[in-house]
Amino acid sequence: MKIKKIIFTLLTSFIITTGSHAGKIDLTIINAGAPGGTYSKLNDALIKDLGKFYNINVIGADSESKGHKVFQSIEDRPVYVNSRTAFFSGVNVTKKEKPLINDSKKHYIVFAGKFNRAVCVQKNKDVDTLLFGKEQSLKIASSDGVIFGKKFVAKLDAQTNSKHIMVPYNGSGKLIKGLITGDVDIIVVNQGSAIKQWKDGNINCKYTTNPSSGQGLQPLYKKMQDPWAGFKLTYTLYGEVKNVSSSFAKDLNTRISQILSDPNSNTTKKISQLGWSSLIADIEGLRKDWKESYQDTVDILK
Amino acid sequence: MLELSWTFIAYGVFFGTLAGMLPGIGMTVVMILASPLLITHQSIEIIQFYLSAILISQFTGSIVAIYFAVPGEPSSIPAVIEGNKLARQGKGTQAIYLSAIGSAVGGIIAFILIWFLGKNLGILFKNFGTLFNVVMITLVVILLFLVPAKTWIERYVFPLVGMILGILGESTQDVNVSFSLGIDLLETGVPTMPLLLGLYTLPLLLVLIQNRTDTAKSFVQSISIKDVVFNMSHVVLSVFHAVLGFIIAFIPGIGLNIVSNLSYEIQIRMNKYVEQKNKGQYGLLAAETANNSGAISVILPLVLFGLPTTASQAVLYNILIEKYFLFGPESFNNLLLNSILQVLLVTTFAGLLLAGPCASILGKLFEKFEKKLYIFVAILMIVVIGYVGIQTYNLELYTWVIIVSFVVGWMCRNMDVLRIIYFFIISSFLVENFTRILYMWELM
Repeated sequence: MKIKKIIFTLLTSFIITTGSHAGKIDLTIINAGAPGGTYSKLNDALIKDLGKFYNINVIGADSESKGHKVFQSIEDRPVYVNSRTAFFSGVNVTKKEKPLINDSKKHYIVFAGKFNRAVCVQKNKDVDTLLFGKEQSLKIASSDGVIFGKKFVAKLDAQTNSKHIMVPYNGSGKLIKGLITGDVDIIVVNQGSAIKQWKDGNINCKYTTNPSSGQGLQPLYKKMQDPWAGFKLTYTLYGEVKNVSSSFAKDLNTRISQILSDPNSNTTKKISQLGWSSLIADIEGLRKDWKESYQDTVDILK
Repeated sequence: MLELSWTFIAYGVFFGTLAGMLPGIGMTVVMILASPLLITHQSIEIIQFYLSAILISQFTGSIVAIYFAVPGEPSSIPAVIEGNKLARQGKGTQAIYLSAIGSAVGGIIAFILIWFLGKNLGILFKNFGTLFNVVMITLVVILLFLVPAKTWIERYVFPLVGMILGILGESTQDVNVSFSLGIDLLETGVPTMPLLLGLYTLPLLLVLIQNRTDTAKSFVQSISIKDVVFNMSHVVLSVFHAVLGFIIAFIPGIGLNIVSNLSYEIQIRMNKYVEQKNKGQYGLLAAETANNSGAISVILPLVLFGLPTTASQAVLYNILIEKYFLFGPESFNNLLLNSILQVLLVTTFAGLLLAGPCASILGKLFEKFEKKLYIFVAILMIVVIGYVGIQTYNLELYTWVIIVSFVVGWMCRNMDVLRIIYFFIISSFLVENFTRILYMWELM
């Protein structure tokens, strides 16, 4: 067979495959969580619940940065994504880059899921001795990026007169593995991921960044001499929607509020299982929370 | 407790048969093809799929090697040399069964070794963290550079290109940092599947379709089991080479290709003391047994340390990373161990059936449909990757990556472009561990 014919056949297959994607959908949801990760699990639950009200098309983006890229690129249909936009926008501003949300007229915030970090050490070790012991030099790992991790360590150093070393990681799974294999002494890790390992006896956790404690962990802010450790900064996954009218956004916000108020919904069950909490508020209330969270991040990183 | 996913083992058997029997397809292509199917499933099912496919490919690879003198994958080269020679002498059935039984013995020996070593390996490797990863990956890189390359481009430029492509996108340490060479489209990195498709698979398939006009002479014959001889010397040799293959394959960076050919070379040297009529059979048995036991131990560095040592494992690694699979002792638990052992037993039995009694049927099917199968696989890959591009809203990036990499792949079709791909895939592991060690040692 002639090579040109074969290339033509292959090209035709590609065009047919890509061209067969047609038709409008009611709501596209980008799942920007890594498959198997806690964000993804929450997204899956929310998608299942929203599926009762919308014809949903899910796009798997497997990371928040990819999720944003996809979110920005879609202009022809209503699209929704959950992401830590306030946190990333705060970090971006610190780096003198654009915040992720800079046009409030086009984007509506319709959901806020708040989650926490747990402070854990190796099993058989004492969290207080390692975290608050004086004049130590330990390795502390964080998955919130280098700038943020260094800030946390600087605060702890100031309180304990220590000289700890910050080790950055990308992802909760790797953080936990780093702790188990002895790469690091302390981790500040997604609580949802830590709890299972703690219960299985693989690691030892004691504190949470949740000011109201929860899941058997104590609030960290009571032990750290800095309101920041409260954490005044709340880690929040905000749900943004765009390419919609304000009435569409309000309707979506109402639906989500109903889901969050229903103790039997998939989302509520998942939020509880992961040790998260949610903020039930209208669009304006959620926008206000976003701005506060964003400002907290900027202030902390100053 | 039985934790087998029969569906995934069945997929593995099907894809493994493709990988083994279609020259050039191999496990790397199979893993790319199966990625969309695998990504939504559990990590353990994906590992079961990979194990069953790689084991079956070792069984079925010998069918085309013996009947048609075509190496389905490079580890079947000894089977081409010795197996096809036996087929030409009218001993095709003996060669087929020798290879199938030898492969099964390899699987059984691997089962026993994993069973004895498995749990202890998990405990032992609990102590290996970033420093260990750095040592391992350095060893792998050195080994890769030591593998002979035809030109300086393949030796030095390809690894460098692979590394640069691999570190594009989100930083391995910091969620707030990404590298894109100033190209917006690359902020999320170069997608693996379109790169593999354009750079390696499509050029390879086109070359294969072009070159398969001269059909290889077939020696497919009906199987008559009463003619088969498998005596004590065969048993002893197959056990010896199974243990040898298992140990060699465990060394990161070696790969089944080297395992099979090394065992064969060792047997050739031992054949000085063997009767002439048995030399070919022993060589065939050595290679086939070693590559099957090695097919199991070759995956251990990946599961235990998160260190991919072959291109197909690198694709598997990519999928498992996306599934948040915790490589290391936390995941190398009883569940995974039992799962590996069960897959090993089931697949060894299935492989024995396929490469033994069913060998002539598979051989005849191959004879009839070979060229059409290549075209089918090429179209299927295009469709699968186009579909994934649409689903992930990355169509523009996917299209560009396929076009650019295909042009490069076609220009370099006579070179070993897998070196680019291997370095592309391990680069994030390498950079991540080296950077982390610098932080840990306060050098950053």
